[in-house]
Amino acid sequence: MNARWIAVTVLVVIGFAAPARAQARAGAAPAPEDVTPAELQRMFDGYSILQAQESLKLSDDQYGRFLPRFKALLDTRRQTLQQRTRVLNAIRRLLMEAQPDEGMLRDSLKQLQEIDARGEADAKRAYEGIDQVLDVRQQAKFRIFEEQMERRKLAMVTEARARQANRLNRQQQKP
Amino acid sequence: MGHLTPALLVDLAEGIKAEHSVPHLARCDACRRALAELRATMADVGGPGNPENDDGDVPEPSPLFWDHLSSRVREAVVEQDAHGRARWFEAWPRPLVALPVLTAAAAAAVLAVVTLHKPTVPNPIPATPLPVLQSALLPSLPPLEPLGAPDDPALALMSDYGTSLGWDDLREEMAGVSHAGGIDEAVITLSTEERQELQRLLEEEMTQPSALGAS
Repeated sequence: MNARWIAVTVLVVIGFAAPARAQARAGAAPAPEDVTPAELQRMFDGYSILQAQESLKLSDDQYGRFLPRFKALLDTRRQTLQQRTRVLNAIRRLLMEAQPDEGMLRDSLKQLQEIDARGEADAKRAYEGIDQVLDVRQQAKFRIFEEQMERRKLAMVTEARARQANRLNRQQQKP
Repeated sequence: MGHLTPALLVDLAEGIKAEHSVPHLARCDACRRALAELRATMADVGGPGNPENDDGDVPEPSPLFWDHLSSRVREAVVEQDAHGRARWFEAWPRPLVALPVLTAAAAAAVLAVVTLHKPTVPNPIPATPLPVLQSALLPSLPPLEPLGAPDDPALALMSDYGTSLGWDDLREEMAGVSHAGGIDEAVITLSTEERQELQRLLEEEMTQPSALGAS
């Protein structure tokens, strides 16, 4: 089986774009063309998985094993970020009070430390799992690939904003 | 019924009222005695109550009497006025005692006025906020912008980069901004239309060969 087909199959399994369409068919709350941040994040995951196969020159055998491990790394990072954001929001709310509860602040800081430590440990384990599949050159490429992917995604977000801004400008200029 | 009033006794003595019009007089020895004494007194001074002096032969005072009387009354009034003022001032307690009392009374009055008028009189809004009040109302720390606020300077920077720089330049410039999970934060800030645009972009990217190329 071709690696690209494997990737497509995995993307379908993780359902990066399915929820919006399913909701549209079911007549759920979001509009048919609406897409939530969570769906976009899943699409980014799918995009990264597709790009990794070509960037790292993975064999079909490597790709089959690499895929779930890379997905585990992405999930670990996202989970850590969500937990971190939740605690930071709680800290922010506490600090906005006139008399912040120092006990609760201490607990939140402890939670933050635990989340960071657990996130680092989970990410380290995920990297170790990926490295077991890749040779040394691929491992090195994977580090560069990740950084490039982050920049690429940021550039796409910026491009999406710019396109929408241009569209609005054109609409306003029309009589 | 009680005894006759002095006014009624005078009226009876002067003959303004007839004795038979006051039945009490026939029954009360005390009132009859009082009326008799009053008439006797009036007779001594030659008043009109004395039937013997009914001719009204009362000597007229000297022509200067009324002028002198008038000036004496005026002087007496002035003198009494001056004495009255002095006595009023002297009648008050010493200042050492009076001052604390007056101060306490004034403070109580001011407090009462302020307390009573405070709920009904709206507080005037100053043109510029008082610094003390402002600092008292502000929280200890300014509220932070929520994650992914539309006016996030980092996103504005990205937007500027997106319109002024090419893709390659953008990648270089973004090196200091990007971090793992930064995309998730950025996606949350997008509007519905921007998310739809990003979805289109992603779908376009995924149908094309790798944009990153083999490293």
